[in-house]
Amino acid sequence: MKIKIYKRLIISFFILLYGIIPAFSQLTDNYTPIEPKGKIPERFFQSLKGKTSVKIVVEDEQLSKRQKREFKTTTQFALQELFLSGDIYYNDPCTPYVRQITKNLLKHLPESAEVDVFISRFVSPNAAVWQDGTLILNIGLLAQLENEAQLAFVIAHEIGHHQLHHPFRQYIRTQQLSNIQKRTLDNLKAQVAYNRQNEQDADAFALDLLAKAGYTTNSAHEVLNLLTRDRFDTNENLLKDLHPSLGACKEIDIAPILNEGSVKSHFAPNMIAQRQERLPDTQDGQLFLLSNQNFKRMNDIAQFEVIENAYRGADYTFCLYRSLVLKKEYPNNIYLKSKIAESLFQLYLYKKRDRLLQLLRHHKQPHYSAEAHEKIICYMKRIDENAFRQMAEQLILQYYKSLKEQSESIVITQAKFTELVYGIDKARPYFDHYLEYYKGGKHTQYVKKRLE
Amino acid sequence: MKTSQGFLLFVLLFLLLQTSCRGTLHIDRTKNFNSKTTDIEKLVCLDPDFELLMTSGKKRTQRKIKRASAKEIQLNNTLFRNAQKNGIAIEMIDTERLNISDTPYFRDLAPLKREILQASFLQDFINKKGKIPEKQIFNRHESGPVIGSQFSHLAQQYKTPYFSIHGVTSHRKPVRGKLILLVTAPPLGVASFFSPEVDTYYYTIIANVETAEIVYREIRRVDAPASDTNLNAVIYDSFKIIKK
Repeated sequence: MKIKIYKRLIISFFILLYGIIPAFSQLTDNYTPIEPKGKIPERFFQSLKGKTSVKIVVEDEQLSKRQKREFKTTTQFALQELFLSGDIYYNDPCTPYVRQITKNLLKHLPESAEVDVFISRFVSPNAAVWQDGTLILNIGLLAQLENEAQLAFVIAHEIGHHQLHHPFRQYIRTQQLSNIQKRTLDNLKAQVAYNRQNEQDADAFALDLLAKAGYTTNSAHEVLNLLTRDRFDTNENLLKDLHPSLGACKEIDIAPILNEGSVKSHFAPNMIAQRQERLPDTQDGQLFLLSNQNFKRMNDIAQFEVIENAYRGADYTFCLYRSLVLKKEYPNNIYLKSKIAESLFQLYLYKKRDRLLQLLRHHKQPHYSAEAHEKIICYMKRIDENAFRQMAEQLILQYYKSLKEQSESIVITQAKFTELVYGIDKARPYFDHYLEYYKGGKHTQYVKKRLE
Repeated sequence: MKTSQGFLLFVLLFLLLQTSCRGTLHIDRTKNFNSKTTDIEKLVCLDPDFELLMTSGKKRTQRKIKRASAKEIQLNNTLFRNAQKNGIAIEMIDTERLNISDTPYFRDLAPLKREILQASFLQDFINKKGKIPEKQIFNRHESGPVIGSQFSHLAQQYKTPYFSIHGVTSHRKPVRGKLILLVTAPPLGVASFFSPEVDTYYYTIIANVETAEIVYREIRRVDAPASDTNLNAVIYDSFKIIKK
């Protein structure tokens, strides 16, 4: 009998160990980006088909029936386009936790409200709510937050917009804008003032909800700070980690480039400052009500997903910057190394094709102020093609040598880079290597075609 | 007498040019696209897009959503019919028909569509020695904009390496009739005075997922509404050129 119990205990211990080790070592060694899987959830499908119900409870006599109908159509269509774009996650590991927080917050509303949360692949730290109750949090925002109370504040703020009917009121405002002021500039000023008032009202609503739920209201101040400055920003020269020769780029005067872009109106420093002034003194409360571990897990995943989505969106300098930042925490992570190699290859390709400036201009608006990122942009603009080639070549080859049996992405990047610089004959061994090790891989058809 | 006849002829010619359908066309293609060795037989068409814009008198432009989605169905049919006439089979990926088990659309095709549009916007076709070509009507280039090679497995799945994006944008401007036409040629002038100005753009982008590049890109503009007849002519001509 005792032997049986011991046997069970030993087996349970090994099962536990087997389960725990991969969970903890997953991010240390590698990361697999989230891909859509399983059946499309019902609520997602409704948005996809433009069949969510847009309730208008605000009585506004100045808006005709036709205009109200148009508002509904516009809302449904905008959501339909967004959901069809493939930029919204479903059946992913982050959404259930975020939904749980939302559910807890909604419990404290005087009347029941239908708010459905989704996470988008967008890397800017932002969130939005529609009049049909669709609340979308960007993955870039989830990566930027530091605790559950901050996340609760963002969600409560958006619930506030929804409960105060701001999407609808803003639509009315836009429709009637030309009647408010005659000059365009006056209209713009009126719009900014109106938006600022809406943000402040939503902040007040969120603080009240946060206090009722038991979260610390200090998180509101922290969130507003995080919206203007990237919390991963560093004074260090990240490029030096790539190659010792890149230490020289610290002498580059980056001030003019840092001043080039203007910050988006939603995060305009003035508006943030005014919102912060209005926030009351902090109240006691909890940083975590649900789970510290779940938040950490979601936050870690979000940081990797930001890198993946920046790459998919061709924002290669941002991808490189965040990969280098995260590599400090996970120095042996294969995924991060592959993204560094792939970003360098893409940047070199654009440089060689004389399209780098166009690419950088396309992503000119920084998501938020991050000096380390600006330094990378500045360096990419100024470095000459040969020097860049040498640096990228050495680094990609170094990664290839150490990871050629573990990373499909690094092998294909090495092959493509060699072909781009030296032609197909020199690249052939790398393509052959790909076929030998990753025969069923996603790039197989491409490799076969190159070798024809 | 001869001078007055000549003048009349000039006026008529001028009026004819004024009233005729005008437009522009620009085509970029790689040298290897649809050569004798690689005849294009099948296209996977990624959710064609129809957009109707209307600018009112106050210069406010609005999207006409409902009418555009009705037109989208017509566009799908027109594409299908004209491709067939030119010997190209089309597999239409219509998002209107997605069902709850269509996860592959979000895993593969939506990212591919975004990748093609992104590459087409950010990169150019390239001629020898990496030079960007000058803009002409018809261009054959060494290579096209590069897309990710992770989509190459789709060639086996869909039995063709060619994936295309088609779209129509029609912009209706406020009615602005030409007074000179109303005075000089009342029948034409009255028509022009009350009919709105419409610009219609039709675009096609074709990517070869096996070679991971955009192989064909076309944009054409006609100053006429996106009616069935007009689109039919434009799309037939487009497929004829693709097949050449």
